[in-house]
Order: sequence, then C-alpha cells, then structure tokens
Amino acid sequence: MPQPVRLSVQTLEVLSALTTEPSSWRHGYDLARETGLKSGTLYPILIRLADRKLVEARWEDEQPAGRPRRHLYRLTSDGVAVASEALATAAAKRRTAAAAPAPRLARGNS
Amino acid sequence: MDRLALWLTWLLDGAARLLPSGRRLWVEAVRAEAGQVPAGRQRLSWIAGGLWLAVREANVARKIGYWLGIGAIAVIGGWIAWLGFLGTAATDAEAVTDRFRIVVLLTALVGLPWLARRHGLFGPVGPSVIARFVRVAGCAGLCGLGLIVLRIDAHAKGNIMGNGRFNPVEEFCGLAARIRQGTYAGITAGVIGGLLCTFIFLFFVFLIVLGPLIGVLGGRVGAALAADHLPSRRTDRSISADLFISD
Repeated sequence: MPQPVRLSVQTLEVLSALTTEPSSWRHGYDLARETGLKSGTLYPILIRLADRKLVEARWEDEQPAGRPRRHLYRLTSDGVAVASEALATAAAKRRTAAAAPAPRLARGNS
Repeated sequence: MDRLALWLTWLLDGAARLLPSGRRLWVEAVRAEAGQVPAGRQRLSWIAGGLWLAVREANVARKIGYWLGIGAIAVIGGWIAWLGFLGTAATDAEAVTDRFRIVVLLTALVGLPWLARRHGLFGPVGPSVIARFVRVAGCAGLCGLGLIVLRIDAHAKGNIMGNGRFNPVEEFCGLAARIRQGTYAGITAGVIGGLLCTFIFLFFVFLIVLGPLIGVLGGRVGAALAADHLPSRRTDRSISADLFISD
C-alpha cells in the first residue's frame, strides 16, 4: 500500500492528465501540452512519481523514422489508486470552498 | 534562435553525462522530445527546462559544497601537520615521525574519499557490503589515526603538553593548543583550498559539458575551411588539366 503523500497542484494536474486514459502510454510533450507545465516542472514531477512507483516509464519499442524514440509514461495500479483518491479529495475541497460564504469585507463601511 | 536551440541541445547532451544512469534517461527523454516542440521560444523553453532538470538532479550545489568542505579539511589538516613538521629539526629522529604523519594524514584525507566516493562517503551508503565496509573502515581508520597522532604528541620531546604519560585531557588540550597556533593561517588555507577544489570540480564539469560542443564546433570550423579551399583546388586541377590537354 503506497504511503499517503502530499501532492502539489502541478502534480495533481499531471495525475489528472494521466488518469484520463490510465492504460495508454503518454509522452512528455503530450503531457506538457495538456497540463500547461514547462519541462523543468513536469519532469521532476514525473521523476518523483516514478520513484514512488506511482508512474511507470519505458522507451518506445521501435525506432520511428525522422525522430528519436520517446520516453513514455503511464500510471501503475498504485498510481491509479493514489490519483483517484487525491483527485477526489481535491475536488471535494474545491466544492467546499465554493459552497462556503464569501468573506465579509470592509465591515466598517456597511 | 534555431542556432541557440542547437547549442542548448548540445549543452543538454553534455549535461546528461553528468548524471548517473538512473537519472540520465530523464534528461535524454527531454532531449528526445525537443524535436517535436515547435521551433522558437517554445523549444528554447523546453530545452532550458531540461538543463534545469540536469542541474537539479546532478545536485550541483551540494557537490560544490562537498568539494569546498573536502578541500578545506585537507588543507587545514595539511597545514596543522606542517606546523608540527616545522617545530622539529630535519636531523631529529622525531622528524621521521612527523614526515610519516604528514604522508599518512594526507593519504587518508585524499585517498579515502577518492576510494569511497562511488559509495557516498559521509552520505547515503550503497546497498553492498563492500560499500558499508569502506565507509566504516574509513571512519574507524581516521579515528585510529587521530588517536595515534595524539599518542605521538604526548610522547614527543618539547611538545606543548607532552609529559610522557597518556592523559586524554592533556592530549586533547595539546591538540587544541596546536590548532590555535594555526587557526588564522588554517582558515585562510582552508578557504583557498576549498576554492581550488571547487575550481577543479567546475573545470571537470566544463570539460564534460562543453567537450562535445567544442568538438562539434571544431569539426564544423574545419569543414567550413575545407569547403573554402576545395573549390580553388578543383579549379587549379581543372586548369592544369586544360593545359595538359592543350599541350
């Protein structure tokens, strides 16, 4: 059972992108386009997720014509579980924040 | 801008070599994707992110601090040993002891980290038995060496606190007094030594990162020079051929 981890907003975005099709392999630029993250942010997140065995990575099997082989990523079964839980928690927090009354401002002016 | 992206890509190739294989593949992954990113600012940003990843994963700041520390310790240790050496006449039998002490101390300070660096001396140790043995034996060896030095100090003639008997308090006081003698000089020497080690480290980084880039640029300059000269040679040959035919 993976240990509970505190996930940043950017990590949640990556997990969310990977969760859309958990069984399919995604490449880095594809994830960067979907999440809007720069490579300097995206790859450290992928490294940490891979270190925690939440993401598995591999190179493309065959050498495509005209470009180098890509590094591919997808969630592990633990990753799917952690991502589902974390995304559900984040969504619940957002709902709670949206339902809460707006803070009263400028009390003296009312 | 494309030329800049090309140079940054070469730099990224070099930076990848700084990393252990487990981390290198991530930088290579960024490199592999760079060609798919639209040219221009987006591609530059992508490659720059890869360089940042390499710097971050190579723990460059930690390595600079490590080499500063090692250099400072080595130079301060050498300086203190040198002070002990200066206090003894060259013809004195004690001088042999001091020379031996300097050689052993410097060998331990330089040799042990060099031997054990692959397994992370003073840091996380590798999972192998050999790695753990090297770390423990290195620390134990240095502690033993320290005790031997203290013991020699206690029995050396004309030493600060030596009276021939083994008294740990007096011996530590004697060592402290000896360290006080060389404090200012030692700090200066430590700073200089640390800076030297850092420069050496950065020089190696420079070689590793920029070596391939310089090689490629050198090749390109050579190719350009050859391209400038080849047509004229061909012309000369064709002229001489024409002359030969006319003859």
